[in-house]
Amino acid sequence: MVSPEGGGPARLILEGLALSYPLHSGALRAFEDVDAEIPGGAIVAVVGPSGCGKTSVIRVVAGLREPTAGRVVFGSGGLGAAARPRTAVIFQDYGLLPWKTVSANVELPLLLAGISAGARRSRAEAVIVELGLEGFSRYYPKRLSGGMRQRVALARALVQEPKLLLMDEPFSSLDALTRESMQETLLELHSRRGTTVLLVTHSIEEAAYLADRVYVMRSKNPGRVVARIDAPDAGGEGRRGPSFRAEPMFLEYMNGIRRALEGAS
Amino acid sequence: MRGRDRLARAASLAAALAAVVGAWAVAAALVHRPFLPSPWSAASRLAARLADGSLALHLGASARRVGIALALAAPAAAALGLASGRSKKLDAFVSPFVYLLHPLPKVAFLPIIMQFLGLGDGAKIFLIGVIIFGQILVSARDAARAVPEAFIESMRSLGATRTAIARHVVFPYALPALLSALRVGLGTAIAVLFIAESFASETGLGWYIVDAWTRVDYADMYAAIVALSLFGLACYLVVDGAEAFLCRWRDEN
Repeated sequence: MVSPEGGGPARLILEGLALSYPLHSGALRAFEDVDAEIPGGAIVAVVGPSGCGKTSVIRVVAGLREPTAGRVVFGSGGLGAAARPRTAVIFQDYGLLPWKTVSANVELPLLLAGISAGARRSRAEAVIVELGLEGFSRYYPKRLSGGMRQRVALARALVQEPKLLLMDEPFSSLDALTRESMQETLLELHSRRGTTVLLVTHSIEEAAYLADRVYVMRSKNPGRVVARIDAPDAGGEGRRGPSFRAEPMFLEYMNGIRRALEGAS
Repeated sequence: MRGRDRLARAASLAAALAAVVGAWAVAAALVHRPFLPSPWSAASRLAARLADGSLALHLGASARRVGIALALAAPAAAALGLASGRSKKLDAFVSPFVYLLHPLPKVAFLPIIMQFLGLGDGAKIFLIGVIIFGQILVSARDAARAVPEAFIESMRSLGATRTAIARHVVFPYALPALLSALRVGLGTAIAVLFIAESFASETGLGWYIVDAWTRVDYADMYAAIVALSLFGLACYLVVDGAEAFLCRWRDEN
């Protein structure tokens, strides 16, 4: 997939997006009236309880499902598949193929794109090193811990040099320590590459820690966006790094999200 | 599989072999009739027949029939089965035939097949092929149906075509089931081989067994039975080896 807008990170706007899944009788409405703006290079989180349709939002933005209504506008007004910036998706269960080694999994997107073996190997090797996976190239996923598998999934996403990275509950099945270290890894990669990230999570803490902007979804059958909360402006680099978790500003940000989730609406 | 596992498996196989041979020896001693010779006389006859090359011709004929049937039936059955497991349209067409034809005892059709294909290798290969085909088709279809949607979606997010999904997901996912079906199919094929070869043949271990029986040469008959069993065992070991190598991602720790 070639980006029509060249170098920069992707910006996207969701306009009145809705999705329903066809059922035997009628349809299951996953979400409706989702409006959101994801600035280029930002990390934006969608937070909500299970069943609020947030994973379905990722599916539609990824182009895996056609929306029932509304549209996704990319960059400078482009629509549809042709305008889609290079997009990588990280699924909740990582989506790694168990019969392929770490390096074969990382190389897979390049193989599918028809890139030659030599270029595949060198590009895969570079991200494998970047994610601290050197020495594990020949392992099958079964031998890796959850955190390591998530690193492989990140490597497989980054090897595509995406303009847009979509993540569905990426760290939810990791233990607390591994999760925090993966969050740091993500922030570090983001600051280096500046890719736009749209991330879905049910963790208020994770959304507040990672995201520049949070959209809160509630399950109202179908799910809807009930609030947009922007990160507090800490000035300079103040908002990044583990110490941010102890700032009053951070707690206030979290409380804002929590109120919107529980809110009287 | 690691070296130690392989050693343990070889040891348990050897123990089972010793138990079977032991039971045979005891039974032969108790029965003490010509139609149940001791394992030693069967073994020495087998060695003699292998040494003078007369069994090689028949072993070769049997192996050729199974080999050709396998080469023709297995890839086609795997392809059709995997495709119909992933395509509702194709499955709607294929499954009723499977449902109808799979439970039939195909070996009962041997006389009719011989009417059509003659008394030569054609009829035998066809019958064995049909049996292997059915077994692999059903397993392939069921395995392809069971591919977790998460793998497919993950591939689609990478822009994979249907062909790429078939190659990188459906086939590797189904491979263990295909090899199991192959193992079951080979067992049935060898049983059927005996029946097919005992009809109007002049070659093959099946024919040799029946011929030795009519000659009332029981040592010869058992030598050929042992040869047929060893041939079956060899086929199993080859499939096992292929599985251990191709599906090593499953049991690595």
